[in-house]
Amino acid sequence: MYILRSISVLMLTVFLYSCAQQGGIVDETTGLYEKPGMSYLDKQMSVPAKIYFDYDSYLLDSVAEGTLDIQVTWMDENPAKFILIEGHCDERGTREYNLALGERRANSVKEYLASMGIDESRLNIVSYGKERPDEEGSHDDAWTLNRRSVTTLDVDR
Amino acid sequence: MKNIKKIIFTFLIFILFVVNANAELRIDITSGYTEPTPIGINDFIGTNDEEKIVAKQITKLVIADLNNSGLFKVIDPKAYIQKITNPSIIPKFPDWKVINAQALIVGSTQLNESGNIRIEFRLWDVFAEQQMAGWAFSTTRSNWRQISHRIADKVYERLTGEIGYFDTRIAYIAESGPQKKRIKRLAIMDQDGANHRFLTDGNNLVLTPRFSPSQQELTYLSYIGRIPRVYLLDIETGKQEIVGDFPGMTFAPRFSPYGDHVIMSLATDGNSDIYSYNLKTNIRKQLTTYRGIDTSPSYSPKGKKIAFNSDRGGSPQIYVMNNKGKKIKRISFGKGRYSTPVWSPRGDYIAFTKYFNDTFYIGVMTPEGKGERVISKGFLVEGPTWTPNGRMIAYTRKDYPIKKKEGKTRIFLIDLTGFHEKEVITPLEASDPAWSPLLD
Repeated sequence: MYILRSISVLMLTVFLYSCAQQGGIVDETTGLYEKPGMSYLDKQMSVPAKIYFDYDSYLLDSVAEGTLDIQVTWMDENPAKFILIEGHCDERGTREYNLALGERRANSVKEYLASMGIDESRLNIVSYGKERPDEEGSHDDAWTLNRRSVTTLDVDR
Repeated sequence: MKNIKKIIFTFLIFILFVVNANAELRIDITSGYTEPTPIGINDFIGTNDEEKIVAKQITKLVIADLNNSGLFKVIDPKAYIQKITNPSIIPKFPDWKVINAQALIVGSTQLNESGNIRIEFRLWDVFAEQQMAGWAFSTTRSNWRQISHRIADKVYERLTGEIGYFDTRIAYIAESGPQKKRIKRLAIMDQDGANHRFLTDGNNLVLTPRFSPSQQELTYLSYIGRIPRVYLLDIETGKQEIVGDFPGMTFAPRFSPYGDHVIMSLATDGNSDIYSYNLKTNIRKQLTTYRGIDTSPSYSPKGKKIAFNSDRGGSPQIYVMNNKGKKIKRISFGKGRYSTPVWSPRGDYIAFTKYFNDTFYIGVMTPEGKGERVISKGFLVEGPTWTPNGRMIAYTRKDYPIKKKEGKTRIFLIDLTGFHEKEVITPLEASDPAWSPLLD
C-alpha cells in the first residue's frame, strides 16, 4: 500500500508538472481544482491537496510529508492565500471519537506546515469526522481513501 | 408542549375487588427472553358516534404501544368471545381464559360539551379473576394520542413494575442523499413515529442531538458557517443559540441531570478535552487535561460522576471520573475498542459501543466495569440512548454492504436483556437517536 501510494504520488507529480490543465472543475467551497479522485490547490495540478493516514492514526508518513512539502512551496509562492485543513476519518469508529481524530489529523498537517515556516495565522483546521467520505463504499479500499486530510483554500477569509 | 400543560389528568384507583398479592399477574422483564404475554383489550366503549371514533383511535394506539414493547401480544379481537359493552360489569373470566388472555383491559370514553374527553379503564387479572387497577383521565379531545400512551404506560407499569415510556419522544438525525454529500437534518417525533417534524432545513450538517431533562431543549452539533460547534435549540420556538465562546471545535454535548450544565469536548491543537459549561453563569470548567482524545462524556443520573471515552491507554476505552475531573478510573477491559458510554437513567448500567474484529457491538456494563454484556451487534452499530425507564436502548445501525452498495442507516430499539430488537420506523434513513425523558 505504502509503496503503491508513494509511486502513484511521485508519478502523478512528475506527470502533472508536464501536463496542461484538462477537464477539471473548481469547487467553490474549497477553492480546489477537482478531478475524479484527485484534488489540487491549483489548476496546473502540481499541488495535490490530500494526504492519507493509517487506521486511528494521526501520524504523517514520508509520502504525506512529501505531499505537504509541495504544498509548502505553493504556500510560499502564494502568500495571500489562507488555508483550511480538513481532517477526515473512515466509518470504522464512533461518530464523536472520529470528530476528535479528524481534528487531530488536521492539526498534524497544520503543525507540519507551520514547522516548515508557514505562518500559523494563515492556517485553520476543521474536522469532519466520518461525515464526508471521499469514496463511497463500505470496504477497505474506500476506508483507505477516506482516512485523509484535505488542504483547502479558506475562501471565507 | 403547550398542549401538555392544558391537560388535566385525574388519577384514581378504583376499589379493588380482591387483594391477593401472591396470585397476581406480574411480567418479569429482567431475566432475559420472555414470550410476549397475551392480553385482551376490549374495544374502548363509546355510547355515541363521536365517542366511538375517539374510542377506536385510543384502542388502536394502546394496542400498538403494548405490542411494540415486545412484552405483550394483544390477542386479535376477532378471537374474543365476550364483547363487553358496559364498562362497569365484571368480565366473564372463562371467556377470556379460554383464549389465554392473561390480562384484560376494559375502558370507556365520554365526551362532554366543552370538548373534553374522560377515559376510564380497568385492568383485570383474568386467571386470578380480580381487578388489578383502574384509572380515569380527563383531557382535551385533541390529546387523544397522549392519553392513549398514558393508558399503555399505566398498563405496562402495573404489569411489569417498571415505569412506562410510551408518552415520550425521539430526536434524531434524518439522513438523505449520497454518502459524500449527505444531507442531515435534526428531526423529532413521538416514540411511535407520530407527529414527525424536521427541526433544521439541511443546509448545515448537524449531529448528535441530546435532550435536556425538561424535554424542551436539545443540545447538538452543527456546522453553521462551516465551524463545528455545540448549540442549544428550543424545540417549540425554534430558537437556536451557541453554547459558550470556545476557541475551537466543541462537540459531543450532553446535559447534566438537572439541565443547568452542558458537558462536551473542546478540541484545540489536536487535543480534545472535556469541559462543563454552566448555562446560567456561562462559566466553563476544564475537567480533563490528557493530551489526546477525551470525548463522549455522560453524567451519572445524580450528576456526581462522569463516564467518558479516552485513548489515553493507547486505544479508545471507557473511563469514569467524578464531576470535578478527579479520580479517573478505566472501566472497560474486554477485547476491543470501547466508546460512547451512556449512563442509564437508573444508574445501574453504562451502555457503550465496542469495535472488535471488524464488528461493532452495543453492550452494557456496570459503572464499576463489571458484568459486561453484549446486547446487539452488526456491521456498524453505535450511539446508544436509553428509554427513560432504563429498560430499552435505541441506537444507530448501518447494515452490511450488499455487493458494492452501502447498507442503510436506521434506528433500532432493543430490550436491555438483548431481546425484542425492533426497527424504529422513520421517513428517511436515520441515526443518532436521543430518547426524551418522561413528561411530568
